[in-house]
Amino acid sequence: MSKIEVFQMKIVADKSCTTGHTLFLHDNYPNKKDDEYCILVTNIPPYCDEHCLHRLFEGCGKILSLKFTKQARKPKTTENTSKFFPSAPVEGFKMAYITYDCTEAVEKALKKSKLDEIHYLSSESTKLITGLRKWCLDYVRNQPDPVKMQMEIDEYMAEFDAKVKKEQEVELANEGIPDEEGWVKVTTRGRNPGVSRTEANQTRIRRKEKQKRKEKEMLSIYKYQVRESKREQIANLRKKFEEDKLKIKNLKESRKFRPF
Amino acid sequence: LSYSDLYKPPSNDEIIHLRGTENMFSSNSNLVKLQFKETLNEISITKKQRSIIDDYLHSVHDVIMKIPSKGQALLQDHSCLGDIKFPMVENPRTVKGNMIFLPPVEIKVVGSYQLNTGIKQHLDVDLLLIMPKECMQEKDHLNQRYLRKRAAYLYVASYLHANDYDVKFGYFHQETLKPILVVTPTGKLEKVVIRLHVCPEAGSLKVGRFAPGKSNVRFNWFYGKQGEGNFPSTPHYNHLVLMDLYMESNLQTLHNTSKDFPEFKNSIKLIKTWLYQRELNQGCGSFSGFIASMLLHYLLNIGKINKVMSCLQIVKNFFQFLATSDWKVQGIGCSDEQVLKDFHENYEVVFTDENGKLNFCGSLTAIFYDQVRHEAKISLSALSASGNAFDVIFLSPAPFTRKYDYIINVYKPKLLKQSSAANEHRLVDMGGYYIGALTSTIADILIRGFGHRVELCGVCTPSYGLWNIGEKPPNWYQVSNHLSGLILNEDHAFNPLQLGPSADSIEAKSFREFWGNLSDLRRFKDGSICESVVFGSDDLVGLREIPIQIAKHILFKHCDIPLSALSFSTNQIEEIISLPWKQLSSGNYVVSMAIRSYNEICHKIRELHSLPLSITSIQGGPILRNTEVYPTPPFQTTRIENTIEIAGVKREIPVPGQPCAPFRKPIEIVCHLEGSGAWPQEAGALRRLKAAFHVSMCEALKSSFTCVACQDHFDVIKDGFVFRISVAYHREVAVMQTQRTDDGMIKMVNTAESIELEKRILKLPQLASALHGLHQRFGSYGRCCRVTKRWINSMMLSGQLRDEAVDLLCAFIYLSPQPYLPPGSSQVGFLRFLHFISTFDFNSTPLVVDFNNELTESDMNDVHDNFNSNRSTLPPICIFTSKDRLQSPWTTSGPSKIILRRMKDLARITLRSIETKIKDAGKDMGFKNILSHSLSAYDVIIRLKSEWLPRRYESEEYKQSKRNTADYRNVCNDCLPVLNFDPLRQYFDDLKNSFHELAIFFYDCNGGSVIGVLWKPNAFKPKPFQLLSSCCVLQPDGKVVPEVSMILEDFKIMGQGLVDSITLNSDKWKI
Repeated sequence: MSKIEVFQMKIVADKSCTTGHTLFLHDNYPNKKDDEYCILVTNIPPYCDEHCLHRLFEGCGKILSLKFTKQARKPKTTENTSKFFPSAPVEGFKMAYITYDCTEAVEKALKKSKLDEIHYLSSESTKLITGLRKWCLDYVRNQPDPVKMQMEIDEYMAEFDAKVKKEQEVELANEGIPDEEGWVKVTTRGRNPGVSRTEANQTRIRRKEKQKRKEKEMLSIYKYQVRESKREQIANLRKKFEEDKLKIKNLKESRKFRPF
Repeated sequence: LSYSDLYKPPSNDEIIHLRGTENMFSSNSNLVKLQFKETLNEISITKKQRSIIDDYLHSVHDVIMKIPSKGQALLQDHSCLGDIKFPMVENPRTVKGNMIFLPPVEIKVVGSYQLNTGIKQHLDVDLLLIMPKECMQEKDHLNQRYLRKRAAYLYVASYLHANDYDVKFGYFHQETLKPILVVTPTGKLEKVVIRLHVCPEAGSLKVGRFAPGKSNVRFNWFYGKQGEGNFPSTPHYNHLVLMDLYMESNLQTLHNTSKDFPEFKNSIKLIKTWLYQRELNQGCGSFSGFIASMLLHYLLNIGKINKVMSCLQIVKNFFQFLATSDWKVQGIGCSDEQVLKDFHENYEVVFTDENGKLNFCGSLTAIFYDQVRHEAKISLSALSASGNAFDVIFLSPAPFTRKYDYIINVYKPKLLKQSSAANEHRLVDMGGYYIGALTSTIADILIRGFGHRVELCGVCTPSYGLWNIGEKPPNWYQVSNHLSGLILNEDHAFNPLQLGPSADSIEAKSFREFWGNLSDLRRFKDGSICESVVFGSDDLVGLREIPIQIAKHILFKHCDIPLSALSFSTNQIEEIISLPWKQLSSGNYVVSMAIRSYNEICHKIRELHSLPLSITSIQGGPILRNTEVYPTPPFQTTRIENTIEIAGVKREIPVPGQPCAPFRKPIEIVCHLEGSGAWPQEAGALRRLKAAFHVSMCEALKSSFTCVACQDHFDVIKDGFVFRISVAYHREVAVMQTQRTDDGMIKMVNTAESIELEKRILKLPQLASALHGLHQRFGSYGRCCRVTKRWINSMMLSGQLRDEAVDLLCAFIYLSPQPYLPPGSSQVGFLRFLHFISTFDFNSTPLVVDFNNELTESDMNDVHDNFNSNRSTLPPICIFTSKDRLQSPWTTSGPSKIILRRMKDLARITLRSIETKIKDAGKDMGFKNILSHSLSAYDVIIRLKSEWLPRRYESEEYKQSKRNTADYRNVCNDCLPVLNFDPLRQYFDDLKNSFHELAIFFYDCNGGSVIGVLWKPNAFKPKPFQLLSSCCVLQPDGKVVPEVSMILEDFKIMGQGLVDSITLNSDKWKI
């Protein structure tokens, strides 16, 4: 495997800090597709939030999306715009996928990274909020207004109900109708309901079948079967003896017999 | 085993062997046999050791036999002893008679070494110097003359000393009238102790003179008066002399019995181990190994045991006999009733030899005997029950400090001398040893005073150790404290009423005399008029003090022990969980207030009929378990600043830059709703629907309480308490687990969220109710948990171990107390917890907490098997209950192995320091000091600004500095206080999330203002660069290394406003 090509970018929280961190920028990431213009930024310190990162990278081109993630795999793009029920934030050191609208922006972003130039996370207009102020702010933010929350819930539930209803209708409409190859889907409804297709049900069915097969089998017809079962028995005894020996050894080693 | 090894043709012998050992582990008896065999191997003396010891003994023998005779001297003149000081406290100083110093007639090896019944780890080799007849004079039986000659005869010490032997004096069984010479070999025999006893040649003293009722010490001689005076009987003195006279013949008896009876010897060894573990054979008046051996001999004689019995059977019969007989009332040993009666008149416990001449238990006190019987009963029941009886009986120690619930500490033993309670005759008998004389008096008084309030009384008699031959023997009062212990009977112990006999009965007078001015005549509801004592107390704390009140009163009244000489180490440990608010000095008060409000709220919620679904159950959280270290007190009107208003309800909020309000935790309640087809089967929708329920329940309750709705819960304020109520739907966990595979199959997969939810809504309420039941059974359980948690936190281990895990560990201490009884005070529970944590082998043994004895033996075996086969995937500490037989849900998140090891070390240190405190300390035990903790172990120390710590009120320093005397009548019911806001905790979590690969963090959530950081080993080694590499710099060679300055800066940024300073303690990070 070739060495990972990496671009580095020096960032510092604000003017009072000295050391800072180095962001690593990659244009080559797992499962890369040709038609997307995306870079992967890793080693993002925990206090750097989406706004900060947006500000750092927006100068290079239009950012279509910016997603934090903990694993290197690109997160699925389901937007959660809910104000009251946001997805859980990514904690600790993280990485981010930044999608631009064109290749030039990607190249520009990568070139931007030089070790000797220092970028500040905190600017005049938007200060980095960390520590105590952040926790206080979070506390206040987590006090929802029940009326607005109820409105959001009603909206969501209406949508959800509609979706479920539609799915049901489609399913009902397709019931009993064979597909192109002539197969009919068995559902749990109707006159002749099937078992629901869950993992638990399937293992149960398999176990039953195995049991049935075993009952039919005859074990002592041929001489070799008897011989083998005897051999098996002795092997089992030996195995058990070894296990017992091991147990006693463990007991002895853990000083189970020492009174003082 | 390889395939060929498994399937090779077996030989005949092999098959027989395999079949014979087939049931090694499936049947319990085989395992027990194995345990007996291995343990006996551990404690028996090997042949090699014997030969080394024998050589050494020969050399000692040769030195002593060469001693020249020294001629005659006055017995009270010690000048002829040379450099050696007389090894006995002479009381009185003068005594008549002459001593002739002649070399011994013979030196014999006696005792357990000779019989081969000794224990390797406590090996005492007894040598008997036989003092020639010529040394003795007429009337030597009188006035301690023989005993003093015996002591003077230890002048042989100087010769041994001259020959470079390490010799010291000591007391035999702490019997102050019987000094012995102790030779401690060096080198290979380091642990062996050689004891030299003196005994007279046969025929020097007449046995008949020492019959139990005879008087051999003259009263007037003892008190320095003239004339003959009266003749008090001197049973103790007689016993001491008789033991010397019969020493050889007793040995001969035991020798004959054990000659062709190896199991006899083995049993003695095991019984000695049993005695050692319980400290029953140590100290003055104890149950020595010799008594045990003689008892076995007696049992053989009366046919209770026989020569074909195995060790196990013999030991079992031994316990059985001890548990079912009472030698205080019906002595054993001799068939002559009249003789036994004589003995009973003079001794507390009677076990005579066959001829009825000698009482083996002559110095055994009744209190020790009761302890032995008590222990025998416990051991017997452990043997008949299943499980690890062997461990309980022989392998686990049960020392004094961890056995007794209440310990009464006479920390100035000198004061006992003034005590008038020791009667004069007894002092004459004991040679003036007032501590010994008082011990049984104190015990009697305690037993009488406490009656059915206690299960058992015990004493810890002083030990004087060894002293150099050039020194005087230690003063009697120069000892560690005199301790008495009580095991309480919880049903009666805290009853404020001591009901006496009815006023007109004969016993009424003695009752009045015993209780003195406390005793009153009272008329009771049933019309009876009785003498009674009522102990004043109105609250729970006062009730717990009742045993102390009783002890103080009766010890002062009957033993003249002043209050200033007593201390009680029982509830003192609860100082560390006392609240900083005066009125709420114990958390129980807060909890009972909270429970009252909780019940009212539950009632109101059940009455809600406007909901579309009905409520199936309401379950309460941790505070209702009584195990919260500092339960949150009611919220007050006077302390509200910075509020905002949302939807018509005022809420307090934290504001940076202003001191932080005290930490408060809401009381969690889970409210289960009935199942219905209307519940959506998708996690997001489910969460929103629950939020909608919260909003509507809030609306419905608005008329009665102040309510605030939130996404995942709603808060209700009642009597200043905040209840955080959340709605639960029983299929919610299943909904979260459901996943659809690519081919459309439905699969149940545990995710982190589903496990967490299951714990919160299903397991936690179950656990809470089980623990609540436990709290009802054992009054001290909740306090023990709180002390334990406070200790864990103060050791900076907060956040490493879930509270539920600590609750379960403490529950285990209460539910499986063997070899003790269940703890009756928080202190003893805590001490046992410390010992348990530091010694329990978590790696190879699962911990099974069986709440209501639901698990059968086969269930237990299943749990064990499952544990053994899945050990590698299970967490370091595994706690199983009847509900969780395969998983240990409360310990999966920690502690890790490193933390567990640290906890074990800390527990060991704390235990040692507490136990020495109990034994040696004065009035104030200073238990607060156990919370102090050195910071030197950490690599980085982050100090925080304490005004921003909401829990600073919980620290010891704060408690000492000021007392907040807030009044809890002005509770606030219309404003929501700041809840669950703990910057320290958040900072800790942030640090852990960000740097868990590099370091471990430690903090004390109860008001600690420091975070300790420990770098992980190898944290600063260069590693190859990956996408996941974080918090590091890239080096030219393509490897990454973390940089300390970077990390420290991050610490600072992440804790902005909270961090005061960061100190780098070590440079361990340098590579």
